[in-house]
Amino acid sequence: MIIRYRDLWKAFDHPILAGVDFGVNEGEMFGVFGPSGTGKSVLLKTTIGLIDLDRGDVEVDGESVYGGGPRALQRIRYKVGYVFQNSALFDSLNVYENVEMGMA
Amino acid sequence: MGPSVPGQLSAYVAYSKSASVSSGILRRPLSAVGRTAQSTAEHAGEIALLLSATVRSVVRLQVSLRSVLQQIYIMGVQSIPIVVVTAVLAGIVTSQQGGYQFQGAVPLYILGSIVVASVVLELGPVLTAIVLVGRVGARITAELGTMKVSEQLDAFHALGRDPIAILAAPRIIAGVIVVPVLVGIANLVGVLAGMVAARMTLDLGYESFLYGARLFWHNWDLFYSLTKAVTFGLAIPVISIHMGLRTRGGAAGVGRTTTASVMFMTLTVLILDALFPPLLLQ
Ligand SMILES: Nc1ncnc2c1ncn2[C@@H]1O[C@H](COP(=O)(O)OP(=O)(O)OP(=O)(O)O)[C@@H](O)[C@H]1O
Ligand SMILES: [Mg+2]
Repeated sequence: MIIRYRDLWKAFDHPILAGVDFGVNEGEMFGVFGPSGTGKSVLLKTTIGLIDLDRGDVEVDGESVYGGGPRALQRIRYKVGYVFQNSALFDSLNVYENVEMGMA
Repeated sequence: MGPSVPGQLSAYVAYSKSASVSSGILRRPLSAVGRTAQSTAEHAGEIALLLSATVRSVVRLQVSLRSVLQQIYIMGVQSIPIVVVTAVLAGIVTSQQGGYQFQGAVPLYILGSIVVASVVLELGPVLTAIVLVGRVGARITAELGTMKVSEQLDAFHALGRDPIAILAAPRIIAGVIVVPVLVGIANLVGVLAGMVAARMTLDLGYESFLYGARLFWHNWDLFYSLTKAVTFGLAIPVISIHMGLRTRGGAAGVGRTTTASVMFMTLTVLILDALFPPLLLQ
């Protein structure tokens, strides 16, 4: 199993993630479906620790996203390619600087 | 045919449960008090975290000199015209109103002292700060707020970069450097404008004006003025960045936080200014 979501809990103004628990295998194509505002993006962001969880943990390639400390998180972030819903290009930087930003 | 899909296709269905909201008679006013206290504590905590993260990124030499210089240019050099115009007008008005007030009552050269004290102690630092709230602070909040709602700040994290080191620290460092310089310029220009105005409208010669100015001058006054400037130079970028970072809710959210940020900064400048006399003029 390459990504494992373990019992994720997150509430903002109201509960968003309530015990989400599943895994994704290597080579698998995995889709998450739901109406707008139900927490798909929140769930995906936990993969690289962009959301503070109320409870639960995510494992990527055997490493804990929320329990492994800043160095492990940094390693995971270098390893994972994440495409944001609105592309999130740095629109105040030029193309070269955008690419440069992604190179360690 | 589309591209072939390796492996199996699975799905996870997200669904939402609506939260139940109960209400009571006392609940509303009490929860309003609670919310205000909670939000004040949140702001204070987040600002403290922002400052400590900034200090950390500076100590670890993660802040690029190029970004700092760029911010010094944007926040400092580009603000000089508006700061100069403001200071000139403040100097002229102080000089003329002071002249009117003291006509015939005290020797007119006292006006030199009044203009210098008003400009250096109060108008130079405070008017400059208020102008910078609009020119620099609003811009920072809107800029970072837009980056926040368009997920660009998340994108920095996703790439393993620290937005505090890249965006916040250069602006805070530049603010602390640039505002005292701008206030120094405002002080000088304001006093000169007051001096010229006194000569043109009240026929008070430069010699007499400067004699009056020197009569009641303490070097402490300049220190006081620049201490105010450093304080405002820290407060404006810190608050505007803090507000930008907590922006939510798309374009409307950016508008909302920018307005809130300008009010927050203006009040902070005025309140800090009011704390100076009891602390430093005893
Ligand atoms: N940082 C945040 N602070 C507060 N609430 C948030 C935050 N991020 C998301 N939410 C809320 O969490 C809920 C789920 O948001 P999310 O973006 O995950 O929805 P989504 O399923 O991706 O929707 P869409 O299909 O429109 O992309 C929404 O009600 C949203 O307002
Ligand atoms: Mg989404």
